[in-house]
Amino acid sequence: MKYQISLSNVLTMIVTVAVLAGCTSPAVSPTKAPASPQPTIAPTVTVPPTKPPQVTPSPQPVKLVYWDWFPKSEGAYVDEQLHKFHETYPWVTVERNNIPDSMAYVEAIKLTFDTDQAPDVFQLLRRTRLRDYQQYVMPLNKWVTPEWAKRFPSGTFSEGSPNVAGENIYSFPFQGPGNVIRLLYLNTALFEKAGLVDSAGKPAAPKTYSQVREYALKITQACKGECYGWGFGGKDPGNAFGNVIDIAQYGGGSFFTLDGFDFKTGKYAYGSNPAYSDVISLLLGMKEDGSIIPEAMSLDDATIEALFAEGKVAMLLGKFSVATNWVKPYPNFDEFEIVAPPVPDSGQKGFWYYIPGGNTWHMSANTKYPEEVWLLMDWFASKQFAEGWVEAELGVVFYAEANKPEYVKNRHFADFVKFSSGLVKLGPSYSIRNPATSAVKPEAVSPDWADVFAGIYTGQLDMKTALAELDKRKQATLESAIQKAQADGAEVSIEDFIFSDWNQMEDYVTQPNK
Amino acid sequence: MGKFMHNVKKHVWSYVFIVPMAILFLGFTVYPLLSSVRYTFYNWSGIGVPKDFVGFKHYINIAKDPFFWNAFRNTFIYAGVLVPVQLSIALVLAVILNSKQLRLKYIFRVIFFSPVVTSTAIVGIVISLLSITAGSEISRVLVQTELINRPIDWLGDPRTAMWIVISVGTWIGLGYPLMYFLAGLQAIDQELYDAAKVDGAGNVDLFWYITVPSIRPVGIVVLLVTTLHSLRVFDIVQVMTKGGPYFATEVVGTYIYRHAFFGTGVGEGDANLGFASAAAFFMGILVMFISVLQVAAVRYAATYRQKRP
Amino acid sequence: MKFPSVRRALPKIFIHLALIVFGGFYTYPFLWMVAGSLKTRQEFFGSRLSLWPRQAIWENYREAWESAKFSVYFGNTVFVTILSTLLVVILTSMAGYALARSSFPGKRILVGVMLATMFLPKGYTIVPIYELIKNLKLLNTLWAVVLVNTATSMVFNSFLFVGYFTTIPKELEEAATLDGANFLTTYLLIALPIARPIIGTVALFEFIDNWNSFFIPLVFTLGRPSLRTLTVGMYALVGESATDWTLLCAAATMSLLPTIILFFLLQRVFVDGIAGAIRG
Repeated sequence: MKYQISLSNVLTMIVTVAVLAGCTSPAVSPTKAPASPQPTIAPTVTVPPTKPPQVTPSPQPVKLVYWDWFPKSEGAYVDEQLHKFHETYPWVTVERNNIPDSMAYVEAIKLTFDTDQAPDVFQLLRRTRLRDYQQYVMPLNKWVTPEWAKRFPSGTFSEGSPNVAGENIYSFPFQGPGNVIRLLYLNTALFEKAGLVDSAGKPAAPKTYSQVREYALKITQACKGECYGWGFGGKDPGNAFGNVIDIAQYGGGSFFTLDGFDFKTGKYAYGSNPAYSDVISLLLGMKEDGSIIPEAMSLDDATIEALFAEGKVAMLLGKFSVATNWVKPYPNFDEFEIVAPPVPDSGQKGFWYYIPGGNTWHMSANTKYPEEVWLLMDWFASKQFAEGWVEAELGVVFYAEANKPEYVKNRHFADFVKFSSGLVKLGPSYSIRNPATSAVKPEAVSPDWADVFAGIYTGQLDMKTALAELDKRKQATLESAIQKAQADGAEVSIEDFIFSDWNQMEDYVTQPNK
Repeated sequence: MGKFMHNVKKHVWSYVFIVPMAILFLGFTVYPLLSSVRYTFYNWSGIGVPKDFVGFKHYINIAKDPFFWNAFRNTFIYAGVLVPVQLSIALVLAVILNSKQLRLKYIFRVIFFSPVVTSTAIVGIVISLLSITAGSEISRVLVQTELINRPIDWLGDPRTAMWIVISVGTWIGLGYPLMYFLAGLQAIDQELYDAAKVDGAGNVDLFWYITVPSIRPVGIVVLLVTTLHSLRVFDIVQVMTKGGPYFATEVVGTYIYRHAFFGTGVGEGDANLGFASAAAFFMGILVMFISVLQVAAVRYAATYRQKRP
Repeated sequence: MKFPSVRRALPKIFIHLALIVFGGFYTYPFLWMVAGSLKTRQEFFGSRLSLWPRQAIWENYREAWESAKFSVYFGNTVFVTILSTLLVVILTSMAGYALARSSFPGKRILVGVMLATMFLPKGYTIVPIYELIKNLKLLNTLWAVVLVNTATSMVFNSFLFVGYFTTIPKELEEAATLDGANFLTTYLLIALPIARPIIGTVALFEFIDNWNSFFIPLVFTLGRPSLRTLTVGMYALVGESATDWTLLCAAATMSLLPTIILFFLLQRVFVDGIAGAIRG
């Protein structure tokens, strides 16, 4: 087995996380809120610096075609880096083709696969399984040596990781595990209006669902119809209710590998796990109170984010990108705080979970210049690239040492960098435990949780019955997928998906079944 | 055989005129269409060659899917309201904008044409902003006068969303039939109007008895195309509501889109183009079937009326 | 003496006023889009539906021009659009004339198939079309874009011409035949001039469709980015989470100018142009 997770790695991870997690403050009373806690920075794991590969320049100039779907801000950074890359390896020119919309990108690239038009190196295909396009990408095993892989967290290249299929490695992750967690944004001005600030003028962070509801109501009352305590952009239920299902994790919900599935019992638990009904009830409660902006369901993210910046809503959930989105249109808007999402009244029962591995860039299986493509991919995986990414405030990266808040000018991003590692834990991975589970492909259910949550919010569905019925449908598709995989000869069973020893307050290091 | 060849020779020019169009049509419309029928019998992510044969399973699942029928019903409601309303307004407006007495008629024509060239994404934002400005004001007034007890989210409330979508759809597409009717009006002989006016006909009579019958040939094509076009509505619904809330405004176009690209509708799902293609064909066949029934019904009614003494 | 003329003028004034008000509401989003192109990013949402930017930010136009690479893509777009539009008008008017005027063997079948394809949706047809273009060795050329855009507009427009041509009184044609005209000359000298209004309208809509088409130009220029069109270039301004709205408005407004100019031209010359001169 390659890249076994060693005991020392596990210990260091546990220590890091424990130190960060140990710094939460006690619950505050609404009128006299003490200052929000400042998470301390734990000693980081020492990651070896990256070395560029030794390479002899080829006499012929090489042109690589590279496709990605990065939006403008990331794209600008990539262009800068490609420039530097060309200076370092002068015989290699990279022609970058950017199609920002991930749908159009996927459609276009699919068409090129069977022709000689396929790019040499490209960013992953979103919303498509690696196995579906596996034959078009090159295994990277030759270059991903144990030495090279040291910079990544343990388990990144295990069989069963998303970037590994069978024995072959096809990609590597880039973003840090905390990069896409949902945070709670607080509008300082509106909190002040309702008197919910501490002596330093910082808003009191609501820690529990009851506090959220209470604060939202207070703010709405103080606003007298001009502004509201809570907002979200309900036009895209996947985004809006994605925020909701993500914070349910802190209440003990499941995570993205199988949303809603209780890994301890092997059954879908939207209906039975209070984590979900609690957070949905919070939303319904705030709606009943009138604390949510009435037009929420018809607004998209851009509008609700603008409304927050204009002081029309006081709280909203979102990824860090919300703060980045304000930089251009509202460059002077700084009166907000980013805090950890709320937890149920009965206390925090979970974290935001991630699994090792991930896909970012692939090498084409038919490329004429694999060595040069590897130079580029190595560049993307280098410490220098990662550090620059963090400095450019584009997100947190896998390369732990690059996530240094001191490098970052924007205090909100610095906060986020400090936060993000404390809110995440390693979760169980059924595909690492038994790689044969990749043969289990549950059919899509429609409506899935996003639409069901939306329907519950608008009142078109009754919460109890809808959640129970969703559980039944999803359980059925999982079980029939397992049966089908078994019929096709895969050695899988529902047992592979059950982790009865999973303690949701700790990292879970999955042991492969061998 | 001889007669056939004679016929063909007689129409040589017709063939010459038809063949270029026919070649392009057969090559780029018919052939790809037939190809895509093939996909409907597979599960397919869109990459490579379809391999997972499922036969008629997709069609059966779609026929059993209450969400498909929901989309179907909404689509017909959309078209059923939009077509008569839009075409009537377009025809009346065309007559007005054709009048020689109208000043600045070209400016007016551009004005009514402008929604056609306004980007759909912008329309989406305008509607969003409208709902937090005008929409929220109207809600407030209604709450204050105690007609309702909670503010209404016009686009996010399942009871009202569809009507907003239909209105916006009617508004944005008006320019098309308007322009075609304008063109059609040019073909109507002015002398017909002059003669009728001499006979004492008023404006309304002129409209009903001369304009409407004369616009028929163009009008039928416009009617057919507007109907089919509105049954395939997608862009405007997607940008305003994405088919929500909870499928209250879902039309067949958004149903297909969801299944084509999102599988589960959330996150990393399986694109299933086979399923989506099957849904599209299923809808097409249903529409053809309904149209054939309608034509047959109209014919039957006509012959029945003829038979009555 | 004033009274009769006032009474006659009143309905006219009323109609003009009603049109102005109705038209104002009608075109508001369009005007708002143009106004948006002159606002700062902050004003875009902040000023809600207001039509008046605090200050005209012409800088947006310069930035949009550069970001969307207008200078490179404008020529490509013009080439593709004009060629496709011309081809569509020529081919569909010819086909429409033949369908309207004669009943050649095979007509019924052809019309039936055309109608059927109108009912059936386009479906997922990009793969077969891509293959076809690949086999014709036209990948990564603008010719492919022209060909596909033209071909996909054949059916509807042909029917439109059919509808129009059936309104031409038979006497005109019979008179022409007596004078010695054949199929071709009747088409060129009698039918086409009468069909100017519909030609103008078909040309306008084809122009708009082609000018705004996105996916086909994208797919057939993947390997040669210098051949891209304006809509593909404008896509750089759209992101999944953060669209640059003011720039998008500026790009859209710039992109619209040729369309508006063409609109006036076609309306004046083609649609209203005949002014009864041909008849009688």
